[in-house]
Amino acid sequence: MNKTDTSDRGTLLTRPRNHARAVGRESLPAGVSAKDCRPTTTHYLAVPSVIALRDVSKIYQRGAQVVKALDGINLTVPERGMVALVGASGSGKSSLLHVIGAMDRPTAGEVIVAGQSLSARSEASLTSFRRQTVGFVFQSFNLIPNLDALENVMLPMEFNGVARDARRRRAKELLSRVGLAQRLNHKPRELSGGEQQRVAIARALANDPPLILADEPTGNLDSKTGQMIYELLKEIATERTVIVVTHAEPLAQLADRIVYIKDGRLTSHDESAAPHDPPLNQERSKPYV
Amino acid sequence: MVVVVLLSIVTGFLALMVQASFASRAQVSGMEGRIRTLIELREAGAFGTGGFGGDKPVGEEHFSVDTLQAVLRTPSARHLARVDEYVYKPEVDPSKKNAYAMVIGLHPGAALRAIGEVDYENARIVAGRSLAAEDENANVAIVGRLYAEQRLGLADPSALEGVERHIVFNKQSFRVIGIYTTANDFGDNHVFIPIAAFRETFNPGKKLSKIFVTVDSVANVERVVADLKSIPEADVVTAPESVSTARVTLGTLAVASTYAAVLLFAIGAVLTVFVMILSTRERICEIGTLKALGASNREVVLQFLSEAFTMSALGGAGALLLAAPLTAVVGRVLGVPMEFDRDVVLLILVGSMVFAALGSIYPVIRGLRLSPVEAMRRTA
Repeated sequence: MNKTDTSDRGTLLTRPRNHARAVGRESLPAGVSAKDCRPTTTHYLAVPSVIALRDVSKIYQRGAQVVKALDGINLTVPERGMVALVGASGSGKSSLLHVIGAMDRPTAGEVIVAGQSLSARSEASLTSFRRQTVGFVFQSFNLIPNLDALENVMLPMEFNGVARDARRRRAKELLSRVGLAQRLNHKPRELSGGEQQRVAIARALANDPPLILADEPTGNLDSKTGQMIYELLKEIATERTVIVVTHAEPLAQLADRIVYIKDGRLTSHDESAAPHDPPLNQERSKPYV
Repeated sequence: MVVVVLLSIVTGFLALMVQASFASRAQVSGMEGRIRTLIELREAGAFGTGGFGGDKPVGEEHFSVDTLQAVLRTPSARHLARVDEYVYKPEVDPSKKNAYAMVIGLHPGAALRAIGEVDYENARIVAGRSLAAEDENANVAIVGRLYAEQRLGLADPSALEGVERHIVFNKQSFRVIGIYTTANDFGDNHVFIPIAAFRETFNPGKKLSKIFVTVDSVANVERVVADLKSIPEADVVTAPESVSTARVTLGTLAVASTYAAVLLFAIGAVLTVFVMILSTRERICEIGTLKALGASNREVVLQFLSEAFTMSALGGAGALLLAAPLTAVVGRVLGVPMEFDRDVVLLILVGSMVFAALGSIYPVIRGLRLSPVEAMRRTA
C-alpha cells in the first residue's frame, strides 16, 4: 500500500483544547447500550465517545411515498479513529452522515455529538455547531468556484471570527500539509480532482473540529488518487474522529471500524456479500484507545 | 464574468436608450419653445410655405431686404433672438420625374427649412455636411435625398463620400457638399445654397421670399407681432391654432418620450433582476455548502449581496465603456443631439445595483430556507 508523506502534519491536525471535555463519556445518552454498537460493543463503553445516536429515524415524504431513510439507529463512535459507513446506494448511509453533522434533522431519536444534543436546537445553533464541531468533505468537493484554494480554506475560519492574518496563516499551513503549498492561488477549476479534494480536506480541518464527516470522498477520483485521499483521512483520524461514507470495500478496509447499513438499519456485516465472506470489520475490530 | 458582461450590455443599452429618450424630450421641449417664439413673415398676399402668389418681377418686389431692415428697426427689435432671411427660386424641369424643385438661398447657420407638402420640414443631414460659416461666399450646395437620387444619380446618400457632384444653375457650378432628408419626398426635392451665391446666380435683386423671426421669449411674442404687423408689405404668420396644434403634438411627444424612458428603465430592471435570479439560482448548491461550513444566514446574504453589488458595479463600468462611444452614433441615427448625462448614468448605475441586489436576494432567501443537504442537492 502506498503511503503519502504525512510526517509533518501532526501539529495541524490536533483537536481544540476543550475537545476532550466536550466529548466525555458523560455525553452518552441514557439507554445507549452495547448492543447498539455491534460488532465492537465490548469496547465502546470503555472509551470516550464523540457520537451517540439513540433510536434515530429519518423519514422522507416523496409525494405519496414514505421513505424510511433511517430506521431506529443506535450507534456510538469513539473520539478518535476512522469509521467507514458502508452500504449500497440508497441504504441510508449519507442520511446518517447528514444527521450526525446537523445538516439534516432526524424525524425521531436523539443525536449527541461532541457532548452536544442536537435535538430541539435552533437553526442558528446548528449552524454554530457545524462551524465549530464538524468538518465536511463532499464527494464533489463543493469548493467555492470563485475563490482560490487559500480563500476556500480561509472561509470556515472567517465564519468562525478568526482574524484575517491568523486564518491566512493557518490556511497556508493546512494547504502546505496536504501538499498544495504551490497551489495556494489556484481556482478550483485549475486543480485536479485529487487536489480539489485535498483543498476540501484542508478546509474541513480549518476550525480544528473534533469530527470530520466525509461523504464518498473518493467517488469522483481514480483509484490511486482515492487511495491517497483515504490515507490522508486515516492520518487525520489519529487525532480526531473521521467518519467516511463509502461503498468501496477495499478503501473501507483501511478504517478502524466498519459500520454496515442496509435499508436504514445498522447490520453486523455486509449483507450484500456472499454468505461465505467473513464480515471485514469483525476481523479488524479493536479497542479505540 | 458572463453575468458581468450581460449586465454591461443590459445597463449600457438601457443607459443609451434612456439617454435618447431624455434627449428627445429635451429636444421636444426646445422645439415647443421655438415654435411658440417663431414668427414667419411672408410677402403680403402670398400664401403657403412656398410663398405662392407673392412673386413680383425684379424691380417691383415689395418684400425685400428693406423689409428685413424694417424688422430690425421695430421698437421691439431688442426682443428678437434671431432673424433669418430666405429667398426661393423654383427650378421646374418637366423632363425630370421630380419636375418641381426649389432652390433656396440662406445664410449658413440658418435652419434648413424645407418646404414640405403641408408645412415646413426640418431637414436632417444624412451625408456630407451642412453649410458652414466659411461657405458664405462659396458655390456649394446641400441637396435633398430625392433630388440627389433622381437628378444626381446618388441612390445611396453615402455614395456622396466617394464622388464629387456638381449642379449647374445659370452656368454657375455648385459643388454638392451634403445630402439632407425630411423623410418626405416633396421636402427632399430642394437645393440649399448660400444666399450670396444665390443672388449672384439668379440675380433676384433685393427680393426675399421669407423672413423667420425668433423672439427671445414667449412673453414678448405679442409685442413683437404687433410691431411687425405695422410693416405694410409683410404678412405676419403666427396662427394661434398652429401653435396650439404644435403644442398638443409636442406635448404628446414629450409625454410619450417620458413613458418610453420609464418603460426602458422598467425593462432594464426586469432584465437585470432576471439575469441575477438565473445566475444566483445556479448557485443554490453553493449556499448549501456555505451553510454546511457554518455560515449564518446573515453571512450568506451579505456574501451574495456584496457579489451582486460588485458585479453590477463592474457591469456599470462596462456599460459606460459600451454606451459612451455609441452615444454619438445613436444620436446621429435618431437625429437627436445626445450627450452623456452624468445624472442619467448615476440613476441607471444605482438602479442597476438595487435591482441586481433584489434579483440575487430572492433565490438566496429560497436557498436559505432549504436545509444544507437539500440546497446542495439542487445542482451538485
